[in-house]
Amino acid sequence: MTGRLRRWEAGVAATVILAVAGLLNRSGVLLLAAVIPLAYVAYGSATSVTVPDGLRATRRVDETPTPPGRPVTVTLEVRNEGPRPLSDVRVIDGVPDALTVVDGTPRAGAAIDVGESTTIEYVVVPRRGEYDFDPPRVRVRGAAAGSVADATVAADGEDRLVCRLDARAPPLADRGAEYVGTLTADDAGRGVEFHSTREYRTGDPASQIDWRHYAKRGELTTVSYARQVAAVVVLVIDARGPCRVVAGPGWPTAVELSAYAATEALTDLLASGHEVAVAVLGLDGPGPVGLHWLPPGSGAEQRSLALDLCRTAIDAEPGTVDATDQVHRLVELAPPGAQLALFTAALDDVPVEAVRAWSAVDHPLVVCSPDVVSDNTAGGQLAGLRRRTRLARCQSLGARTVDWRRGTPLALVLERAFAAEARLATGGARGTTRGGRP
Amino acid sequence: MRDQERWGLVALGLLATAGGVVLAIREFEPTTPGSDPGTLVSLVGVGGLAAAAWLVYDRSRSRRDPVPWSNAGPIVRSDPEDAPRRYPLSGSRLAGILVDARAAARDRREVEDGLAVVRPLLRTAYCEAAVAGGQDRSAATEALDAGTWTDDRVAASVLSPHVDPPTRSLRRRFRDWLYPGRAVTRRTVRAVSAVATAGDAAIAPVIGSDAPRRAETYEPSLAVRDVGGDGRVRDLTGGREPDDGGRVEGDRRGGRRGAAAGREGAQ
Repeated sequence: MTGRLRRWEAGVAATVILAVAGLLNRSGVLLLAAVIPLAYVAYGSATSVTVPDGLRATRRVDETPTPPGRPVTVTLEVRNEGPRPLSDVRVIDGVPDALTVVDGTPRAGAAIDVGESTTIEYVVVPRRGEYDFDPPRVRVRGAAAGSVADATVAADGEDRLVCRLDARAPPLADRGAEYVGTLTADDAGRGVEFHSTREYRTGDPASQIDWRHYAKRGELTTVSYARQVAAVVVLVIDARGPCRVVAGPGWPTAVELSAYAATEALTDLLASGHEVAVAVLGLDGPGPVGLHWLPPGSGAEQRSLALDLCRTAIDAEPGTVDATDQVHRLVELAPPGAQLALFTAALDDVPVEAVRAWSAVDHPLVVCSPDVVSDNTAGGQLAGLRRRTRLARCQSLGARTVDWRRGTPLALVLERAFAAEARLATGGARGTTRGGRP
Repeated sequence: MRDQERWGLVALGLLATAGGVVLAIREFEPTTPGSDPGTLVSLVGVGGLAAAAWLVYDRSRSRRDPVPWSNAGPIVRSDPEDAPRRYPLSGSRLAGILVDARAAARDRREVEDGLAVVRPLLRTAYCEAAVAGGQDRSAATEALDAGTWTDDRVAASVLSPHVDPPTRSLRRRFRDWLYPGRAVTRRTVRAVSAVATAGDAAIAPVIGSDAPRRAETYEPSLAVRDVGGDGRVRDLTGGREPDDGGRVEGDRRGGRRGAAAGREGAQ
């Protein structure tokens, strides 16, 4: 689309005034002076501009797919491969409406010589979903700035940003199935940690013979290792209405971040051979007292079902159910001795009461809390203090509590959260529930 | 303007100028109309200029540029930086209470009436933190009433009506009388900062609580800001108002620096 700008109206007026004054006063000098503004008017009117075909755009999205809340850098390079320089080019990238630009700007204005380019770089924060970028809009103005031409330029490279809960959690592979879980029990069995030695029996593998002892004493002994067993971990996602708040417009909600953390933990725990159950608080689900409940299980199918439940936690509208009832009901549903991991923003006292109820029945507890409270407003500062107070109360009740502040890698948070001493119901098991990344 | 009109205007202007040039060369002498070619040229020139003036006037009536800095209109329909506001912001409860507090202060022109509205929330926040840190609730309440929980007398007077605020200058008292709502906001913000400092010192740290925040937090856009009567920018969503030094603490960098400086000063 090409259009004209009303840029030289002052020139027209000056021409008229000078010419009229020259005629009335019969002054040839004034009439000649009218030529000067008229020349500008004529130049601005005579020149025209079009968007050249040689204008190329290339977009790069770093990186996609990406998890919710992770800042993603988008770079758009506009290159002039045409035959003539462009004195005034203005570019606006087609950022999807649902994405938030948190740093930089998707706009630029530059003069681009032949073979040169200008680059736009900005940062967006996605929520779960798929976002299609529109082609960038370009406006070119002529040298006299009397006319403009608008056009959309098809961008090469990436035109879609995908945000998924499991972006950093690849599907389960046949990884490390040599042992079941990474919890060590008190009795001997297959494992890697030294347990005891005993007298050699026929059929013991040669790799377990203590050759050093044989060289010293001349007796064959067999090394036994601590047996590794699996744990049962119940991931609880707090999807109640108070948690559906954001740190800023367009940012992921606390529920979405909780579901993302649960997805990562789920993948790590399943990959390590543990059994994992999932429960969602605050929704009106098909389970007991409105719970969304996935019983303990393992393997790829369990992961798929659990991922569906995490997505449901984000997409479903909060129900009118009593979350306190669900908390107490969860005590009955969880297997004895199962570890309960609560993912909550801790924006009210319900998580503290849940930890109190669960700790009363001696479940090992983990609380992982995404931080969605801003600290640069007075309201956010006060809400942040109350949230930290609740986390401290959870910790004092015996839960291993981790504050997931924005900027801390989630892998590190989960490592800290699940590196707790596990009090298992398998009897005498000792060690840690530690999810290993494939 | 269509191309024909534009080129017609240029042609008329050129004709008028050419006429002027001819007249200047001939040293223009008064003659009767129609008696020599110079007069004819001048008449054509005047007619052309009149037509040009009419065109300029007509175009000025049909001015449709939305804003002077977006020649030919905006390239895109909406700002690409804008974000959807589907979910509420966290930590907005105090903002709602502050609205009521300011209204209460304005009704009677008493700052104390406004502070009474926000006081329970701030006292609860401090007491919760103190109790979580191992302090007895009654001791925490006594510290609040006596104002011994902080060195900031202004903050202590916000959380307890029994604590007198420091002596203020006549100018400050006049300003508080003139704008009681603004005084409520200013003192509440100061009290929140003191409560956060004291509360953080009381509670036990949890894993990750001292990790840096690399990513941004909420920064209000210009769309949700307003310019007050004194010309300063206000955040309409409950952000901090300018402090006494005139700096807008709602600004991300300035606000964080200001908060950090406040904590260091209080310690």
